[in-house]
Amino acid sequence: MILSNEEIKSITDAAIEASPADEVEIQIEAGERADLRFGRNTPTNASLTRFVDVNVKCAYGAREAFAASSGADPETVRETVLRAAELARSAPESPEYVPLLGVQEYEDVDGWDDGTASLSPSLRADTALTTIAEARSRGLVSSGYWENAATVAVIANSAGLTTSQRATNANYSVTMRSSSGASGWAAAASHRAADIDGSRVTRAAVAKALASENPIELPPGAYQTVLEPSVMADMLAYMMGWMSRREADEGRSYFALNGQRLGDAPFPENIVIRSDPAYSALPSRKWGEGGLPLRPTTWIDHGRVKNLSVSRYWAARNGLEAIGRPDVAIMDGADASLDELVADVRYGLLLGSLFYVRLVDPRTMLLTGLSRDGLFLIEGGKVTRPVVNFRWNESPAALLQSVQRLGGSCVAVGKETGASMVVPPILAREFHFTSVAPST
Amino acid sequence: MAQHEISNSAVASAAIDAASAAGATYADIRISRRLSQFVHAREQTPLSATDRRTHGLGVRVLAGGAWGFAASTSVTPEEGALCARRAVEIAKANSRLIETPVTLAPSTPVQAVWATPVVRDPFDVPAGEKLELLLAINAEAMRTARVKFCQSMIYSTREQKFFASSEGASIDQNICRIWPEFKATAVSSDGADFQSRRSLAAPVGAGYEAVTSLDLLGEAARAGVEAAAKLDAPPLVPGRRDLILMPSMLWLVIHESIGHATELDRILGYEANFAGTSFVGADQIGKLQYASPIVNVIGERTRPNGLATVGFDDEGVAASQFDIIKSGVLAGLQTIREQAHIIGDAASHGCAFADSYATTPLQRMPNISLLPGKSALTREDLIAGVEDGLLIEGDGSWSIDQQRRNFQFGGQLGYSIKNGKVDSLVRDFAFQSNTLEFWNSCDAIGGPDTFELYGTYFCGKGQPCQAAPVSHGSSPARFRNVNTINTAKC
Repeated sequence: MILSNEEIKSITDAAIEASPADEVEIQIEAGERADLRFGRNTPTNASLTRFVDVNVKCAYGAREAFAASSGADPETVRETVLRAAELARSAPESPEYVPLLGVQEYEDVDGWDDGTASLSPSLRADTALTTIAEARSRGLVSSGYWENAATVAVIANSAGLTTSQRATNANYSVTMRSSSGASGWAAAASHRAADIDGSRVTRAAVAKALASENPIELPPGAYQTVLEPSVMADMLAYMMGWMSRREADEGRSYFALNGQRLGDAPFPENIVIRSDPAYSALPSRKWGEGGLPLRPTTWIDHGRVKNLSVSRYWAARNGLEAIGRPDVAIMDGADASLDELVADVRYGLLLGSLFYVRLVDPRTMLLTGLSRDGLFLIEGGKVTRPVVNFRWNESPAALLQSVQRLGGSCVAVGKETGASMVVPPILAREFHFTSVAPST
Repeated sequence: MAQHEISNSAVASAAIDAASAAGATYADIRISRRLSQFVHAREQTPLSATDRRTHGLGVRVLAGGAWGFAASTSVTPEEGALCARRAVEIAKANSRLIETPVTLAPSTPVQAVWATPVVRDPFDVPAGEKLELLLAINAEAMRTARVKFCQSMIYSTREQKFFASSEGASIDQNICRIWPEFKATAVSSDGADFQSRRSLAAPVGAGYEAVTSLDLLGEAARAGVEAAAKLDAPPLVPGRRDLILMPSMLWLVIHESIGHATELDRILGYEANFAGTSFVGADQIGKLQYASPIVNVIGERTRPNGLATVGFDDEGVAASQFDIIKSGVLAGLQTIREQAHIIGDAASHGCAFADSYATTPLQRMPNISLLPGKSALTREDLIAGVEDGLLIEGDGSWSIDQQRRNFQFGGQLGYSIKNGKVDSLVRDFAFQSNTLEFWNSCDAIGGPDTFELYGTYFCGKGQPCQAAPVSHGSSPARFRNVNTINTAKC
């Protein structure tokens, strides 16, 4: 349920009023989520959820605790505040306590679309029907997922901070499989559902599935590889999660080992990674920890590690500026198309998406995972054959060090993480495939 | 009237009546009141405890042969009826997409109550008492000089889950689970290396007594010593060798390579857009030589302390036990009511689960366990039969492909075995194999006295992704000639 500004103010005022603690902070996330899932060319489930989550933090001096509930009626809000206060009263003092933030200024983020907020079950079914009909006409089996949401997020506290953000989002993903098991996947995401072209997503998945028939098996090894944007979205999502100043300062991070330090330049000069919650193609949350404003930030500046996220505690302890971790990262690209990157490769691979990615070694950010739904051989600058999938072991840091050429940046969805990022396709000097994984 | 005072039956009746009136041919409702508490500490720093309570309802209907579902955090007869009508609207919108209407296998509707046996409710234990234990754990681990960090936590959940259906079922369950965990990290004196050792304590379906029955302080002291020892341990020399996997590690291999591979919804393609499918065919029951003849694997929701142990699944089907692998051959698959008939089964194996009021039930794993060997083999008996091998304790990094063939697993502790004896701790190890080759190389399984239960609170599947708790038991087992790799040289 989308709360009005008056309802929000009434709830947050009541929470602050009800608190017996020295400090109180209330966060609300409320809205509607709807989805339609299909498999075997038939709908498998579809839902609509109206939700309200209320999270309260209370503190007595440096003794603090959180409580949460799924309701915004006065009785539930009051009970949640009192529960947080009771937990805080009996908690020991936290050496990592930081006082509440006062009034803040935030970026102006426009991430709301009325059409997305009011999307009907019939419109979701229409999109799925287009995909299913295409699959049936081509003798393929489709599966997919449409999701749209309209939410309002709120933070307010007894130190005077208060802000809210309304947002919509939608995403659609499709997997097409042939009777031989050849598989293709494509996805799109936007805060405007009308910007998602279901037919285009369907065609991309169909094309990949049809091109993946009769793959050849290649030996494992290091291949010059073109990585499509979905792969980069996943890789970037993992790396951004580990770009933390505290872990680096404590000596338990890639950004503290192997000679890499804040200010060093481990990556090529053309690597620029930044974030901006107001980025128009992919708007995101404008605040982080405790209402900390998320500002436009450059993380990797022409190959140099310029910023790591800094928690409010770590900043206070070390005299640093607190820097929140963004939901969305933007990796600058260049003007090459995917075809132009492929044209640069005499013998290598085109990698479309990743699956089951896990951390193997935090010292190097080494990940393991699999290729899925589109791996192709490149010969003489052209895609020539589908290739049987591989397991790979690779680090996003080593990958960025290996970049030879960048394509144009676009909004892409990581198949593994589901994260939407603004990323280019890249040509990497090498990507380490370690064993054959004959699954489709 | 406050939400808390409205009876579940009244809300259920309103929802089911409204669904029928709107044209549903079947309807069910789950009303969930869920408590969770997360208490954690870093070194000697208590971190803020989080206490979460959710209360909501979800109505699922069949109309026009298709599913529809609607959920809300407002638990009233009026909202239940509104959700029912919305669910029917969704189902009718989707009915034009289907070629074959959903068919449910029969299930006897019952009126029943069930609860996890609990000696001490985790929510009656003050957060301060839990925190005191965590700080003591951290202190024990950090008594070893080079252990600079230790994080620990206790996570507990209790869910009152009410289920009612248009067929007449009315089931009230109270399900309690708990998980203590810590991780000690040692840093080399020159700051150029760090190694961690995570606790082996498993999440279980039980009360706080499961925490106090463990020697967590003793394990923390050992973990500190072992984390530091990993800094000095020789790296694994890669190559093919025999493996002995302890239950604290083998549970994850069972989960990924047998549990997920034998889910009928994956086999049919329901998960093709997300979690993947399976190399197993529905027509391979009784034919596929999944493992060596000494391997027997069962699924059940009845094992004491099992994370998936309940009285009834989320379609109201009574908990039961069934064979998945019998004498090495595929014997059965995990099913729910709408899929059982597809493989010719008369009834569901009771594998439906939804992780909250707001999610639809999916086919999820029951507890799946490797049965002990028939003879009373011990860990030492298994080691004695190995010339060059690796023994792994605790789960580490893991990954498996979308049809559950190719996998890579690490662990917390690796010990080289030479000439029938444990030789030394090693580091930077993992193994790669594929499911059928691996399970057919199993030549010894420990006896009943060595059987232990492990598992995960958070097995992910479905869109939107749902987390399911599930346990896996086993004895130590031996696997021949497996490819081991050095993860520092990948």
